[in-house]
Amino acid sequence: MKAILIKCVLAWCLVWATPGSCTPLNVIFLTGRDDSIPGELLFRIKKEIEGRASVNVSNMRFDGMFRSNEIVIAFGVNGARLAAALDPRIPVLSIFVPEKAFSEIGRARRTFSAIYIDQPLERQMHLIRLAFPQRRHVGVLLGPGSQGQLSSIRAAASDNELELAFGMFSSQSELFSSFDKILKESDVILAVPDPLVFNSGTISGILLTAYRRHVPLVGFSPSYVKAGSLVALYSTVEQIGWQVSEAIAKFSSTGALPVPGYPAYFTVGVNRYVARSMEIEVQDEATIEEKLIHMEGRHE
Amino acid sequence: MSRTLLFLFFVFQVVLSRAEGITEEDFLSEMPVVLSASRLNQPLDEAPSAVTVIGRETIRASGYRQIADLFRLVPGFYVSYFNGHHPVVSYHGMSDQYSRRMQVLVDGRSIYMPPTGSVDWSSLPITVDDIERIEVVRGASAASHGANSFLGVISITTRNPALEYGVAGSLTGGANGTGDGFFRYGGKSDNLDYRFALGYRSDNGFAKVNDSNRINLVNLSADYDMTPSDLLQIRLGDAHGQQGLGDPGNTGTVNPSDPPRNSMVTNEFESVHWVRSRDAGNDISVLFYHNYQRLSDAYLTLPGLVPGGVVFPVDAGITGRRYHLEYQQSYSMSPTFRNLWGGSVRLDESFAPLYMKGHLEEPSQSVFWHGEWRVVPKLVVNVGAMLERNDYIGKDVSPQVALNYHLSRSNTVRMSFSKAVRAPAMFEQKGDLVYVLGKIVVPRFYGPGNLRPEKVRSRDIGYIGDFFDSAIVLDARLYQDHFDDLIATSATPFPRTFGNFGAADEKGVEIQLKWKPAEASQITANLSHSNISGNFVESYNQSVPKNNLTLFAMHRFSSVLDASCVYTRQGDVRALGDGQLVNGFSRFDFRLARSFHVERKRAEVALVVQNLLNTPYSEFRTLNVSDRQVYLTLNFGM
Repeated sequence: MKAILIKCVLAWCLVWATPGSCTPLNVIFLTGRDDSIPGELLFRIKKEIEGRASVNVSNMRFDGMFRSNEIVIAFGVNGARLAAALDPRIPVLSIFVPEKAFSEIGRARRTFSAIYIDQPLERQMHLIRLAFPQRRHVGVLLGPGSQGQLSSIRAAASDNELELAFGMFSSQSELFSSFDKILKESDVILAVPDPLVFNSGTISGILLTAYRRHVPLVGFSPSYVKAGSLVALYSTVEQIGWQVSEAIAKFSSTGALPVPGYPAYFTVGVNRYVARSMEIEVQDEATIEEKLIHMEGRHE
Repeated sequence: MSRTLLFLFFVFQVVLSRAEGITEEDFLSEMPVVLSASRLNQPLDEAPSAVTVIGRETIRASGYRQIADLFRLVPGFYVSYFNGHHPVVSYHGMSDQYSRRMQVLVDGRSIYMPPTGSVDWSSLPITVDDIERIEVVRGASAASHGANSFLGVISITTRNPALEYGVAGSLTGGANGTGDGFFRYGGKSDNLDYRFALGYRSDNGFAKVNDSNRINLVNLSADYDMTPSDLLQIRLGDAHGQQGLGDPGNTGTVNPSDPPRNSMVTNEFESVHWVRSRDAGNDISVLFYHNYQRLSDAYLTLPGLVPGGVVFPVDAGITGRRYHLEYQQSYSMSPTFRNLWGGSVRLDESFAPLYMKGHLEEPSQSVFWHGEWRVVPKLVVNVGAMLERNDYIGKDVSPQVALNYHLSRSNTVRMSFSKAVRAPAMFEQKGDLVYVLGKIVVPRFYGPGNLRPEKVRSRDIGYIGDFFDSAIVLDARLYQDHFDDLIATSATPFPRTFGNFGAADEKGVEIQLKWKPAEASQITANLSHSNISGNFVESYNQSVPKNNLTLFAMHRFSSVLDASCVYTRQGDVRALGDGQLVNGFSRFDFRLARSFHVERKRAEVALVVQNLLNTPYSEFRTLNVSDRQVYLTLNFGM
């Protein structure tokens, strides 16, 4: 009995412990501004990690000290900012952070990885091709926070034989005139996150105008589908949690974090009521997801 | 330890500094449900009735100043003018100057007024510039659109305040005293979008009729996203003005009992609409509104009515009010089965001492259910019914069933059957119009109070073809309506008594073809043919033009120049009531617009010529001669 117990402990250590240690890995969360992270989201992600990896998820507030057997999960932009100033020996995995923000913050640090909150542009363009095979004119509306992405959006569109119409604007009053112009040149709108363009105050005008002109909108979060965008591409909390668990497992076994990257798992949401009202036939979500995975596999 | 303190200090700093640029909040924040069930339109080829949509672009290109004129672009409609400020908009005829057999909604608010049971188009507190879209349901549709959706429904949606920011305006001037002004300001603050508009409309009407029209109006719309799933919409409007009255009779001479004079009109409304949406398939809403209309018309008759040159005071004022509270719930058991049910309570009030005795109140209630079931992808079934009750007529049920079958992606056939009722207007039910001229008492109209509602049984076969990605859309409809208990007045002149006298049958065909040959061009052809059999006192058969043709074309020559025209050909018609036999006519309207930019804001100057070839014709009665009208519009920021 004693021998079996020792074997079990040893096996468990082999799988989950950091190299050179037998104590379970301590996962500690770092959030910059508690009010910016919904408590429910934090709870769900902790639960997801606990359910998948035999780790100790700490509920303590991180004190900034280096301890072996500890990994920090930094939450959001402010979490990433805090993590950037930490002792460089502390391994940090940044999650729910936009790619652009992370590339500005995390450049200097070696032991700093991330799972971005945004989806790769390539995947978004694939989605447009799959969901709307007849539509080739993609419109994007860029504000001060997203203008820098124009060249990569243009490249991704052209790789997928899509034509890009774009509008740039700098003040709220120009928003709808810019959007109107883009709608005339596009048959599908790709929403690109930018707090000045897409927020709870502007979404009504954007969705209503696009709907009336019969142009579907591709959103970037589940609440966009609920609000009325015809499709959206996003990763659920559970999917991010899954990927975090995998990263932790990898760290446990190799001592190295994966390179910063986009979410590996994703969900396609379709608003069937809007699709039906706009008389646009869209394949079912699971089929599109499968095809997207297939397309990415082929490209690799 | 000091390192920990340093870190905690840094945490404090980051907590205080608000992240700029894109953050996770852009991805995680909740959005309001915008395209809720009540905002989503049913596809035209799945609707239980034929539907014509007039969008913003068409409204602009038509060049029409009067909202009523826009219905010239809908097959089966007859638009005419009893006088310059009294348009008559009727569908399938059988109408006098008060077209009573249609439901007319503005943002879900019925503007059908109780005393006469008609719509006062000229004093509406909205202008053509306030309108985003007009949806016209051709056919009885009580189950989904409420009481009095007897022959059809006009549903007007005004501009959404979330879509217009900043300042815009227009000025119109032309011959015959035509002068209109419009100004609006739209703004937003956090989750509140608001829009405020001021308008002025004026013209001198027909040359030989005292029917000038001067209306000032103001309206306010505000949409407030209380929570991501709760939207509060407030709409207010107020119009005041002066309108010329005085029936010149058939000869054009002055009628001493109805002399030329000015009357004052008031038209107000307040509406609050709360919508809670869970998602695009499920929402509940509560709508409350109040409409108030008043015509002030106290005058003295002219000498000559009785010997001795005596004049008599007459108060022909009419006040009408409506309070309406409605609950509606839309829920989808699945994307293929959608339910809409609800109920309303309403109180109509009327005070018109010349026409009806005393202050009248008419409470009514209704419940309705409408189900839309996609049985298989090719077959959609719409079923519904409305149960309504009012104190005078008791209970009535209006059922409706329609099958839409998609033969292919482009071809759909529809078969529908419906029954609807029209409750008598207050004047029909309780009218008591008596002229007391000294010792002479002349009873003119009398409503016995025991009228039954009018009934219609409609059958319709429709076809909708949608080709080349909606570049060509063909909508054809064959219909057959049977009417019972039609309300008319007796042949005896003193008084003419309202009764359920008539039965009639109407058969006809309506065709609408929309063709978009290129991105910059659009052509619409409307054709209707109608035949009514059935007589009582007046001939129903002549009350609708047998054949009507409208051609509408618009083309954008460049980004700054566009032109549009409307050709109308209408057959002979003799409307009921004071209508006279007027000959058919052809009319050609033209609009040319040039846009330019002033300080990065778009401006446009447009020339409109109505009846371009100047071929005079009569509207409603021979005296109302319509000839060429020319006006110029300058708009800014629209």
